[in-house]
Amino acid sequence: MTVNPALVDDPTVEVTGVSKWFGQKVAVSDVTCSFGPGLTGLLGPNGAGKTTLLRMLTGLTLPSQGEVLVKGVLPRAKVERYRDIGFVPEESALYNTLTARDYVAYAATLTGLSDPGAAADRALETVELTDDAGREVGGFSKGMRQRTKVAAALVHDPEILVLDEPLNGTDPVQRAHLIKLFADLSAHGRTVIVSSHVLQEVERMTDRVIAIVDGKLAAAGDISAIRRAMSDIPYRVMVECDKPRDLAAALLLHNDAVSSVNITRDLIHLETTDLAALGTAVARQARALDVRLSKFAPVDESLESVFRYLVGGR
Amino acid sequence: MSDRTGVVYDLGYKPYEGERLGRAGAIKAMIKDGLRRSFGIRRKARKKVYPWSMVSIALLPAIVFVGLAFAIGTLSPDAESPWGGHPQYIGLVGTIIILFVASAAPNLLIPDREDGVLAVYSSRPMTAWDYILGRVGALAGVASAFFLIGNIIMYIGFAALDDDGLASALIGNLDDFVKILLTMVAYVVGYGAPALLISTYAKRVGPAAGIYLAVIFLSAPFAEMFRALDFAGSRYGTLISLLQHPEVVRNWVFGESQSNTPLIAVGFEPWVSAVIIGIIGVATMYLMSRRYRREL
Repeated sequence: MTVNPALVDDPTVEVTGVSKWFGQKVAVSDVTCSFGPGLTGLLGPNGAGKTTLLRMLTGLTLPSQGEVLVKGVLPRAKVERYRDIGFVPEESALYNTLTARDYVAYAATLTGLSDPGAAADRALETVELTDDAGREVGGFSKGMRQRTKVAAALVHDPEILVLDEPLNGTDPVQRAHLIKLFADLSAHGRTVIVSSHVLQEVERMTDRVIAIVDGKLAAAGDISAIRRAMSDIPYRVMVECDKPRDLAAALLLHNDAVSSVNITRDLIHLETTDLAALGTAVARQARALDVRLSKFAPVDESLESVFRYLVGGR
Repeated sequence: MSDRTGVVYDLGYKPYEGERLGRAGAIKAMIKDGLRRSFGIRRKARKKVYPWSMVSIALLPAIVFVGLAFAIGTLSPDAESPWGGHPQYIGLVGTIIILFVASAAPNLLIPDREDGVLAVYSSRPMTAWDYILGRVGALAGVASAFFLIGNIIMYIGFAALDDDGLASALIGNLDDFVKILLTMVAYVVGYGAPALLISTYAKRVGPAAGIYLAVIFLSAPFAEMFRALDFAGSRYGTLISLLQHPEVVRNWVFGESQSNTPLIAVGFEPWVSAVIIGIIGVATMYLMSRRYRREL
C-alpha cells in the first residue's frame, strides 16, 4: 500500500528524483512523484516549475538529473510511446493560417492516423468547435485557441493526457465543459495531468494534487488536506476606515483571531488565522463604534502567497 | 396525457478506433504541409500572390523560348533559336529560385520555433530527423518544382518541334533530361541549403530572408574581388561565391563556356563547385540536426 501521497499504486508516469536547471537557475529540484489513471492537478504559482516538469513528463525537456518513465520507458528513447501521449503546451503552438479542422487533422496525420479528417471532426466536436472548424485559427479568441489545442491533443485518443494551463482564456461555460471533459476522460481510465495556477479550477476537477513551489514538491495528495494546511497560516488583512485606532483597539480587546495589528494613517493591517471570524468581528465592532468602513481586503490570499507561506512554514 | 419520450445523448469523449500508420506518414504530411504553405494553397488570397507571381515569372521564359523556337522553325527551318535552350533558361530561373527560397525557407522553419509549434511535433511519434526531413523535403520539392516545370515545358516543346517527331525526340534527347536533373540537384542544394541553414538559426522571417539574399548576391562581387587581388591564396577566396557554384555546375554539365566565372578564371576545375555544393548540403543537414536535436 502506498504511504507517500505523492505516489500512486498503478503509475503510468513515474518521476524519480528529477531536477532540471538552466545555467544557474534551478527550475525543478529533486521531485519524486507519480501519476496514474484518473485526474491529477499540478498546482503552483507562476514560475514554480510546473511547465518544466510537464515538459519533462512528455520528454520535450530532458531532466538534468533523475528519470521520467512513461509506461516504463523513457519517452524520447521510444518515440512510438507518443501515440499514448497527448500534450497541450502553454504556449500558442498553433498555425494561425490553418483552419481549426486542418490544424487538428494535421496533428492527427503526424500521429499516424489513417483517417485524419474524421478523427479531427470527432475531436473538434468533443471540444464544441464544430461550427467554427472551417475558420482560421488566427481569428479565434484565446478560449477557442485553447480548445483547438485540446482537440489536437485528444485527436489520437491518447492514454495519457498532459495539459499545461488548458483553461487559460476560456469563458465560464467553456471552462465547465472542458472540466467535465477531463473528468470524463479520467473516468474512462485515462491518466490526465492538468496544471493550473488557479486553485479553484483544480479544486473543481480533482481531489488529488501535486503542488510545486520554487521547483520543489511543496505538497501532494488530497486537496482538502492541503487546503487545511494552508489555512493554518495567518492571513494578512487590510481595513480602511475613518477611526482606525478605535476599531483596532476594539478588535484586539474582543477578538482572539487577531494575532497582530499595525496602523498607518487610516489603514489597519491585521493578521488572523480565522478570516471569516475576523470579518464578522470587524463588522460588529464597526457598527458598535459607529466607524465608517471603506475597505476590508485580504492582501495575501493569492495562491502564490499561500504557497510561499506553505514552503516558508516548513 | 401525451405519451412523450425523451433521450439525453452522451456528447462526451469519442475515442479514435481507426488504423494507425508509421512515421513515414508524418514526414509525408509535413512535406505536403510545407508545399501548401509555400504556395499559399488553402490559405487566403494574399498568401498566394507572391508564390504564384514567382511561378508565372519562372514559366514565362520557358513559354517564350518554345514559342520563339516554333516561330523561327516555321519561318526559317534551318535556323537555330538565338535565345538558347535549357542552360539559358536555367540561368534565368535560378534567380527566381533564389527569390522564392528566400521567403519559403524562413517561413517553413522559423514560425515553428518562435511560436512554440515545435511542441506539436515533439509530442508526436516522430524524431528530430523526421522533422528535418519533412521540412527539407518540402523546400526541395518547392525548388525542384520551380526548376523542373519550365524545363519540362521546354523539353516537350522542343521535342514537338523536332523533325523526327515528338516520341522519338523525347527518347532521343533523354541525355538532355539527365543533364536537367543533375543541374537541378546543384541548384536546389546550392541555393536551398544556405537558406535552410540561415533559417535554422535566425529568429525572424524578414531578417532571415534579407541575410540570405545578401549572402547569396554579395558573394559574387566578393569572389570577383578575390580574383582581382594578387596575394598567396587569394584564389581560394573565389570559392565563396555561393551564387556561382550552381552556375558552374550547369555550364559543366551542359558543356557551356565557363570563362567569365571567377573561380574557373583562377584555375579551379568545375567539379570543385560540385564538391562545395555537396559540402554545403551535408554541413547544413549536420547543423540542422544539432540544432533540432536540442529542440525536439
